[in-house]
Amino acid sequence: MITGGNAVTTLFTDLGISPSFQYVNGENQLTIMPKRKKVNPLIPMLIAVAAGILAGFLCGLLPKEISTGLADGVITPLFDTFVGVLVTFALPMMFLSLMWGIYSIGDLATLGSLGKGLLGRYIGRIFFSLVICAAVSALFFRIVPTFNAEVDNLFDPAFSFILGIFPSNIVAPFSEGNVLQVIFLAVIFGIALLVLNKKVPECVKVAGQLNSIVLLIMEWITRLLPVFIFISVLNLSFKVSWAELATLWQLFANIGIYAVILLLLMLIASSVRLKVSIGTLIKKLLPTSIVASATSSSAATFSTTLKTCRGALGIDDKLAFFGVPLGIVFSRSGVAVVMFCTAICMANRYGVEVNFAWLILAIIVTGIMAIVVPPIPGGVTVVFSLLFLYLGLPSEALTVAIILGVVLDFIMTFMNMVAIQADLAATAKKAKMIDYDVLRCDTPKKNRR
Amino acid sequence: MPESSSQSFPLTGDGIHEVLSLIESTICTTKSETISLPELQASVGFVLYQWQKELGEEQICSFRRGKRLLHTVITIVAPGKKSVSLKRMQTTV
Repeated sequence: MITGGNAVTTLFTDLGISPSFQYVNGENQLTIMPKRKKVNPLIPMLIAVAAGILAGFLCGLLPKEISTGLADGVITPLFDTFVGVLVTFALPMMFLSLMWGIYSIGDLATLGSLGKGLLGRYIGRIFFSLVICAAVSALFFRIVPTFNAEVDNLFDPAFSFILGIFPSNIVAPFSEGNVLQVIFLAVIFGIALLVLNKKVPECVKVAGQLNSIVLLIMEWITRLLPVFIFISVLNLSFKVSWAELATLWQLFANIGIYAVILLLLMLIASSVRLKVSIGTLIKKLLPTSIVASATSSSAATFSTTLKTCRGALGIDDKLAFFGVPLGIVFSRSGVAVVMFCTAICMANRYGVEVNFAWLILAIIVTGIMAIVVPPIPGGVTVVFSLLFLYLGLPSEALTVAIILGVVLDFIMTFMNMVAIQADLAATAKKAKMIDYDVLRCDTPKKNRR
Repeated sequence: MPESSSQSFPLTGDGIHEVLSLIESTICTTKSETISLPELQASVGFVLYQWQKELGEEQICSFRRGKRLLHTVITIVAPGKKSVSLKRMQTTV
C-alpha cells in the first residue's frame, strides 16, 4: 500500500524511472523519462571479445619493443586498474548484499535451513567434481593401483583455513581484501540485524539504503564490462604465446573434457530437477557464462549472476541476495577441477607416482584449497605453490602451473559461476522460492535489478 | 502519434484515468523499455490523486509529451499552490 512520497519514489525507482518533482512558475510538475530500449547486452560483449582477439593479433605484428611497451605500460596497468575498481566495490557489495540477504530472509529458522542447504550444495559440488575428475583421470594418466603414501599433516591446511575466517579487526578484511573474513562479518552482522530487527530500525534502514547505493554503483561499473572484456582478452594475448600454449595441449584437452562432462552432468541434473529444457537453461546461463569467461573475475560477474538468478531463473530475491555472494566464496568446483587436473598432469610429467592414496590426498587438499583461492583473476596462482608442496610436486612444475592459472582462469570462473546458478536454482526449488513462470519463459523478466 | 503534444484535463477521476491511458499509449508507441504499466500507473495515479486532494477537482492540468536528447519525456503539470506531497517527495528524489 502506498502511504507517502517515499513509497512512490521507491516504486518509480524500482521501475527504473527517476521522476523529477518541481514547482516552477506557479506550477507543480511531475516529469518522467521512460528508459529507451536496451541493446542485447550479449552483443557488445561478443564484439569486445572479437575486438580483443583482433587487437591481440595486430599487436603481435608490431615490433617486440613496441608490443612489450604497450603490454607493460598500458594494457596490464589498465587491466589491473579495472580489477582494482571492481574489487573495491565488490567487497562492500558482497558484505552488504549478504548482510541484507540474511536480514531479508525474515526469520532465523529459514536462515538455518537455507544456509545449511546452500553451503552443503556448494561444497558438495566441489568434492563431487573432484571425484568425477579422479575417475576420468584413469583414462588419461598413469595411476598406480596401490595405497603407499607419504602423507604430511593433513590437519594443517584445514585448521589454518578455519582460523583464517576470523578477522583480527573490523577493518582488516576490507583493507586486505580477505573475502572469507568479509563474508564472516556479513553473516554476523546479518544475523544480528535479523535477531534485533525492530529494535534497530535505523540500522536496518541504513543497511538497506547502503545496499541500494552499492548495487547501483555496481550497475554503472558493469556498463563498462565490454571495455574490461576487451582489455582482458588483449592482456591475455600479450601474456601467452600460441607456441607456449601448444605444448600444454594434453592438459587443456583434459580440462576441457572434465569441464564438458561436469557441465553436462550439471545441466542434465538441473534440467531434470527443474523440468526445464537444456536449451532454455543454456540460453539463460549464457550471459553469466560469457562475462565469467571473458573477465575471469567472479567480482565482475557478480551483478550479471544476480540478475540472471532473479530475472531469468526466477529465484526469489531474498535467496539470490543471500546465495550469490555466498557462492562466490564457496562454489569453487571450477577452481578445484583446474587445480586437480594441473596437479595430476604435472605429477605425470615430472615422474611423481600417482596412486590411490595420492588421489585421495589430492581430492581432500584441492577441495579445501579451492575454497581459499582469492576470487580475482589469477588468484589460483597464490595457492598452487602450497598445493604442489602437499602433493610432492617439484618446484619447476610451478612455472607452468602459474601460466596455467592465468590462462585457465576463465574456465574456473565460468564453471564456478554456472555452478552457483545451478545450485541456487536447486535450493530455491527445494525451499519453494522459485518462480516457474519466469524460469520456463524464454524471454527474461524485465526490470528486476 | 506526434513527436510532442499537450493535452489538458481536469483533476477529476475521469481526467486522471485519461492521463493514465495517455501514459500507457505513450509507453507502448515509443521505443521505451518494457516496464510494468500497472506499477507506473499506480505511482503516477498516487501523485495525481494527491494533487486532486490539495488543488481541487476543478483544477485543469496538462499532460505534455516530448523528446529530450532522443528520450521520450512525459510531464504532467498542475498549476496552483505548491503541493505538500510534492514538497515531501522532493526531499527524497
